[in-house]
Amino acid sequence: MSAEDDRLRDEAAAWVLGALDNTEAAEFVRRMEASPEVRREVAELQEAADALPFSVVPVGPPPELRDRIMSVVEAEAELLHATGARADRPYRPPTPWWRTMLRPLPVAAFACVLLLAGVAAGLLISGGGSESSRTVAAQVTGDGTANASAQVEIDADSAQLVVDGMQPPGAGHVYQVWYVHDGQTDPVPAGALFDVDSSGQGAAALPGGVDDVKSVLVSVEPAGGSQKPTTQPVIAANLS
Amino acid sequence: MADEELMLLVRRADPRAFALVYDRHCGAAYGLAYRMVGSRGLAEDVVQEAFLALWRGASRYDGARGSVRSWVLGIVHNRAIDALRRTLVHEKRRASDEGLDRTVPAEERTEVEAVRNDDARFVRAAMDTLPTDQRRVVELAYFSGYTHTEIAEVIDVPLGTVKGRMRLGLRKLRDELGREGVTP
Repeated sequence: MSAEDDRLRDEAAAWVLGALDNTEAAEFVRRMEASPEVRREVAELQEAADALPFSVVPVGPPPELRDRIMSVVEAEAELLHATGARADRPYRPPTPWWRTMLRPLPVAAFACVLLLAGVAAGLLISGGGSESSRTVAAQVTGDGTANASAQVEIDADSAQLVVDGMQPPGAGHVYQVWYVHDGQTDPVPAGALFDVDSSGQGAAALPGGVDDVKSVLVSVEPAGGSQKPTTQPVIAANLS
Repeated sequence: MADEELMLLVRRADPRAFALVYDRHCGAAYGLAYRMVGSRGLAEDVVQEAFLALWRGASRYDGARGSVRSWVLGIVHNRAIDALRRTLVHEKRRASDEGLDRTVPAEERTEVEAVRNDDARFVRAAMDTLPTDQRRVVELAYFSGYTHTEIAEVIDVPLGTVKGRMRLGLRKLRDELGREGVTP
């Protein structure tokens, strides 16, 4: 074992206890991945750390908390199911009511991002050249996204968006995924909402497949999601 | 229905399945959150964030890597640490379990779960076997959200000593739990 491994093993306990700051933690993870010895140490110490919360006495939270959480969950489920059912059918242009309500700024912003996504040649990083499995790197924009990344992973029968290094969407908000279908210019809800963890990582399954989707966009929306985008997109992936 | 089966339904956006998962684990989640942040309002925020993260990220649950409760508590722990470091309320928290029982108002005290299952007793017993200095750094890190650097300052010992105590403490805890056959 190298001196570097020794140093990392000393930090392994702090890492599994959550006692490294964000910068230290990111560096530790990067170095840990290159050392089987350190990964083994982490796995063993993690077993002990995982037991710690079980020592705490359970306490019933107030019923209002359940009500608050379920109201968000039920609203999102309704949106997901509505969009999921539609996603199983051939795409039809959206009804005109929301087109007239769409504010000029988001429309212009989405158009710009679509253009950027369209000209971002070389962003396709194929996973081995298979027609049925590929990964598409997305463009991430906005404040605090210098180290952020996002990609769409597409398999034969599923697709998902995976992000890393993203800022949290903020209290009462969520990231919402939008599709722009082939031959269309306006985004429609994909039926996927997601959040990120403390390291900025998150993922969302993309309902209905993306065979007829030319772009996947993400914007920050109020918890429960929106029927149309209300903010500028922060992620754009060109699937064409 | 087993937790793992419920999670399959949650992945398909079934709110009733989610409600069952919440009902089964909200007490453990809220207890941990309160123990860590020491404020009922903040604990509620942490639990809400954690369960919504579970709802939105159910596809990331991997039953091979641990129980649903362990996963939920891991999310709660991470969110609570985020909250602690965001709000800098170190000095206002550290409620003990016993203190928590007293803190909960009378009308809600009936909701305090009386269940202290064997695993919880074993974990407490295993923690009691740790030397005081090792147990202290483990608890300051895990339950109070201090970084190892902060702990070194708080207890006035070198950083290397803190790291060593953490590692020895977790190793001993793992050995004790293994002796009792406890797995989270």
